[in-house]
Formats: sequence, C-alpha cells, structure tokens
Amino acid sequence: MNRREILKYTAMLTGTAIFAPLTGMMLSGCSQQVKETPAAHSSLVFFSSEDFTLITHIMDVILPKTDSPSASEVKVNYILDNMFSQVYKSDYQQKFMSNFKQLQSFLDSKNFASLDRKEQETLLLSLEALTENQRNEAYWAYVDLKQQTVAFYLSTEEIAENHLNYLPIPGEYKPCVSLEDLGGKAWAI
Amino acid sequence: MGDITMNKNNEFDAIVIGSGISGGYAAMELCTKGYKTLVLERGPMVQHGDYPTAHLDTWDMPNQGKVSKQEISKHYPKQSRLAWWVNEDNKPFINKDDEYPYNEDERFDWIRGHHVGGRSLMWGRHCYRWSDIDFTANSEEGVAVDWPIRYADIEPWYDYVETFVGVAGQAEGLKQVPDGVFLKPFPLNCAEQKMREAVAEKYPDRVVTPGRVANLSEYNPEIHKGARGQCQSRSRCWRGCPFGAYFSSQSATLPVATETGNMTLRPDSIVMEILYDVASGKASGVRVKDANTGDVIDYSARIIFCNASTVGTTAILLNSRSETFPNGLGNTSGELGHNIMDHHYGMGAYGQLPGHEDDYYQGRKPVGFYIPRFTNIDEKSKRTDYKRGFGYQGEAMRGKNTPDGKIGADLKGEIFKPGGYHVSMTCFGEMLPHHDNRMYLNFEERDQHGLPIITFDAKLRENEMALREDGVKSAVEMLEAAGCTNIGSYNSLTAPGACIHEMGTARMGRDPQTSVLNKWNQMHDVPNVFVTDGACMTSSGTQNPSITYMALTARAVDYAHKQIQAGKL
Repeated sequence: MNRREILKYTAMLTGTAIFAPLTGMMLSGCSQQVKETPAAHSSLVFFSSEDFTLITHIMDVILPKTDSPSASEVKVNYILDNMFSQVYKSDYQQKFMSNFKQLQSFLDSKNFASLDRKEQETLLLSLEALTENQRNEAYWAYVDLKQQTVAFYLSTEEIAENHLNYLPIPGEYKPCVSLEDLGGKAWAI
Repeated sequence: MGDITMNKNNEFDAIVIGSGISGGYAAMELCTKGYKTLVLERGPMVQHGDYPTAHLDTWDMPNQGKVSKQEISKHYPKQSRLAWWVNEDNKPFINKDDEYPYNEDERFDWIRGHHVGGRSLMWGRHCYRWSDIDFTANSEEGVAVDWPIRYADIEPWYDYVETFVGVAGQAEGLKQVPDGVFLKPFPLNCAEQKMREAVAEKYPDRVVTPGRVANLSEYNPEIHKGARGQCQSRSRCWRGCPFGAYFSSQSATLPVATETGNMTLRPDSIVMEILYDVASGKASGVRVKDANTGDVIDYSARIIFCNASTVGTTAILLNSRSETFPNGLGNTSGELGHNIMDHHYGMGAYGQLPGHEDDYYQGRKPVGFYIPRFTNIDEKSKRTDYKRGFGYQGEAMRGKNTPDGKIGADLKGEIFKPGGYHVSMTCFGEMLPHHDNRMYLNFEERDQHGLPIITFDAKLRENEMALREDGVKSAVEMLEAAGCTNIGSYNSLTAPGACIHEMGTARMGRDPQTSVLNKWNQMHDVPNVFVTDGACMTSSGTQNPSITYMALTARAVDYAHKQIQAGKL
C-alpha cells in the first residue's frame, strides 16, 4: 500500500473524498467476513479500554478544542469504535490493529502521555514527515487515524451544522460560485 | 384506483405485469386510452412520499450510513456485491437475498427491488437516445440478429416520452446519441467545464457534456403531470424524492393512470404464469399467487403487457408451459432466456485537477458529466481490436481538506475549507448478444412460492475484455489532457448484472424462427402478449436503456390500441 492507496482507501471507507457510488465501484469484488469481537468496556464495541484511551488522546491532539469542539467532544472516538465493530471488514481490522500496535510502541518509547501538547504535536508530525522509504507501520496507523478523525469529525451534526456550510435543500444548482462568498467554508453535505 | 373486489369476474381489458419504469408507462398509456387495466406488482405497496430516509443526514443514520456487516451477511450477500449499492439510505428499496433466492452457474449480480415502482425508485436516471449506429450494428457485423426497427421508427416516441418524463440535457448534435427534447441541463461546474474544453482541444471527437437526466430542472405542471416538482439539487434521488423531482412510477405514471379511474393496482401479486388458450391462439389471462395469503387467482384480459423486468418477465414466460408451448410461452424460436446482456464497468480513472481554488458550486446536482461513445461510430473511429464501444459517467468535485504536515489548531484552520477538485470517471461498455449467455429455470428446485429457481449462466467474453483495455486507456488520456495530476486507473471486471442494465432475453427480430418478439414488441407466437421491458432488446448499446424501454412501451401500446380498434386483436 502506498500513500495514495491509503488515502483512496480511507476515502472509500468514509465515502468522503470522491463521490461515494463511484468510489464504491472501485471496491467491487471485495469480500466480506463477519468477525465478532468481544467488548472490553461496557460502551466500547471494538477497542480495548487501553487502546481506546490512546486513540482518543491522539484524536484530540489532531483536533483539539479551539473555538470549535475537540474530536472527542463530538464523539469521533466512539464513531470509530463503532465503525470498526459494525462495518469494517476483518482483513482491514487486523491490518489496522497490527499497525496500531506499532504506533503504540513508538509513542510509548517516546513517553507520549507525559509530553506537553506542543511536544505531542511535534512527535506525531515527525511521523508524517517520514520519507517514502522510511514509512513504517506506525506511520500508516497514524495517517489512517488522522484521515478518519477528520472525516468523521466533519460528518457530525454539531460540526456540519455549525462550522461548515449546511444547506439541506439547496434549490437551484449553481455551477460556479465564489468560495469567498461562502465564507471560505466547505459544504457540509 | 379501482377496487379489486368490485370486479367479480376478474376480467379486465388489459393486464400489465410489473409496476416499474416500463410497467408504469404501459399502465398510464393503456388507462389514458380508456382500457380497464389491472397492474400486478409482486412486491408490497409504496405510496409516493413513503420514503423513510429522504430527509436523513449522515449523522441521523447508523454507521455513517453504511449497513452493518451482520445485516449484509444475513440479508444482502449478493446485493452487496456492488460495494456501492446497499446503504442505509436506499436499503428500504433493496430486495433481501434470503427472501429472493436465485442460482448461478456463472456469477450474475441480479440487483433488484420488488415493490410498487420497482427500480424506477432507485434508477440512475440517465437518458440517452439510441441511434442507427446501434440499431444497425448487429446486421452490419453479422452478430446475433438484426433489430427489426431503426431510429426513424422510435424517434417520435422518444420525443413523446421525453416530453412527459422531463430530461435535463444539452444538445450536442452527436450522431451516436441524438439530441432529444431537453429541459435546461444541470450545467458543468467550473472544473468540469475546464475539462470539457481541454478534452475537446486534444480529442475533438470526445465530448464532455452534462449528463442527460430525468430530473426536473424546469418544472411545468401542464406537461409534468402526476406528483412532480422542481428539482431541489439534493442528490438524494435513490431514497425516493418527496418533491417528485425525478421520474418514477410513483411520481409520474401511476398517479396519471390512477386519475383516469381505469387502473386497478394490485401489489403483493406474484404472477406464476400466463395462461394460453389453444382455441383462440391467444393468452387468456394470468395466474396470480397472493404473496400474503397464498391464494391463487386467475385474471383475464384482452391484452397482456409483460413489464416484470428482463429477468422477471422471462421467468414468467418460461414458466408458462402448455402443450402448444412446452418450453415456455412464445418460445418456438428457442431463444427465450438466451442472449442476456448487461453493460460492464468497474473500469475508469481518477485524478486531481489543480486550480480553481476560488471556484465552488452550490447545491448537489443529481448528475455529473457524460462522455458519449466515440469509437466505431464511423470509418475514422473504426477499431480493429473490438466491436462497438463505451461511454463514461463522471464528475469533478471538491473533496475534504486534510493537508499533510499540519496538526492541532493549524489543522483545524484548514479542515473547514474545501479540498481541491478531484475528477473521477467510470467507463460503461457494450456487451454483445451471445446465444450461450442465458438464464433458465431450474424446475427441480422451488422457492417459497413454489416457483422454479431462476438460474444464470452468462459471462463477459473476448470483445468485452478488449474493449475494456481501450476504455481505461482513453479515460487516462482525457484526464491527462485536462491537466490532472496523481492520475490512477482501475480495471476490475464486473459480473453480468452488476450494471443493473440486464436485457435481451426475449429479443425483438424480423424472423419468428430466431426471435421472440416482432417489431411492435408483440410476440410472434401469441399476438395479444407484448413485452416492453428490457427483455425485448436485440443488442445492448452503450447507453443507459430505460428511456428506450419507455419509448418502446408507448409505441407498443399505441400499436395494440390501433390493432384493437381495427378489430385485429
């Protein structure tokens, strides 16, 4: 898997980057298997409490609270847990978990939890800065988490309706308008 | 709507089997001509407006709008072979595989929705005319049999149905997809317009045009009768449109038929077979099983229109066995069930289109661009490596903005902005008719209603494979011409059926020895039975077929009416 492939794959999973039905066509032929995973926590359906704590932490470093909510404030961490349990296929589940374990080891070795916020950002950015032949499993886990965190964050009601341009019934289609006139913001849907 | 219990003798002037896109049209045409018409639909009732997901946003649905693995595995193992097809929003109109079994000698993705309105509720809505390039292809190449009609035969009927349906599109003067009666198009956005111009400069024969689509860009209540309305650019068509903005049986044909007072619509009515009367040499009626009660009821009529979908209609005909027709009604040619076609896809290209950072669009148009077929349409475009051709559907959109090298507050400063333009285009190829591509009934195995199991034995062959190579290559060429970067392509073979354009199992032709229907969609063998759904097709073309089914349906009803008036039917 190269970088473009993982972005494409994330786009397919989240149906965001390109038109969902068309991306779906690219996926045709994928097999599906159902794998039940025992819940480790009463409200969690896929991740263990320990993994979930770290995922939540990473998500909130990626998207912290500013004048808009943090990732966990709009429950992006729970959305991800649910998607892994209910939707994602077992081959992807396994691939992600194996990558994630490496990310966990890497962050542990750098004492991620005890760093201050700026240092945490710098550490995660150092993963993104890896050149193509340096990219390891920790890198893939992080890039995957980042893509999904942003995609699911933007698909929450709170963010879509208050921080993006939300227009459920547009009326006339206008093919070319000025982004500036729309406040520089993307359409929510 | 007529009350079924009022008609004690179960006698009607006409019976229409199926309420989907062609059945609804047949019902409307028959009812407006004054025929007391019974419309039989095997699935449950869906009233216009009964669209449970029409107003839901992603966050209102479970799993980001995706259907859970458990549910897919239990109910949709075959329907979900199309990874894009089974979603929370359109799930109410998708058949559960565990309730509708079928068998495959070769993989066939039979994608269905059994309910009033059929797939007219979930269709892709693209409407392209066929041309004589299509109608003469079999004859000129010596493939299968010749179409018994030419463009001139169907042209006025395209005019007729397009006017009522309402097709938004742009006239281009192309011989391969003739212009029709168009409402104003859903225009290309800035990036798509740039692509149109760049492609035209490098490849003058390749035209990037707004998709021609059955959505009302302009609503005229005088013409668009029924329960229609202006398109609101929501692009949630396949959930059912509460505005009646796209053409469906619910929004258009059935309400018009209802208003005549001549239609009796009976949902939950599984047609087991068409009954043949030896004395008259005609069909006398149909035998129906009530899906809820299991009661078996016979209805009679002077004429019968088969619009149960390509596979549904053919299964009914194959199951209508008598001494005269031991292999299925009207099957003296032996072609019934054979020559099944579809379009094939799973191939195309995508890329990023730099520029236009300050340009955006407003609204979600119900269609992107279309690139009509451009090979084998004349001497200049003649190919030696394959017959026929392919077209594309695609679009340019701005995606999400998740830049590399940013995190935290810096990243949040970016993610609310739109990302750059992406272009994606999917290629749709023609599939040649081949006698060995077929469906048949397995009489040894029965479904829960006692009907023999439909079985498919069809595959893509050499011509399709060769065509695909050029389809992908040409897509990449056009993205390059448009100045796209990070171009990728794919060629992932789809099974027949996957395009949901299955057709051809009761083909039209000139010779009763080699075809099932004549040039009026009338059975050679049984003159009061008409087949005007996809089963009638003699070749598949590259165009989305529904508007052609509608035109052929209106034409066939007109013919039947004139024959009846002349005392010949």
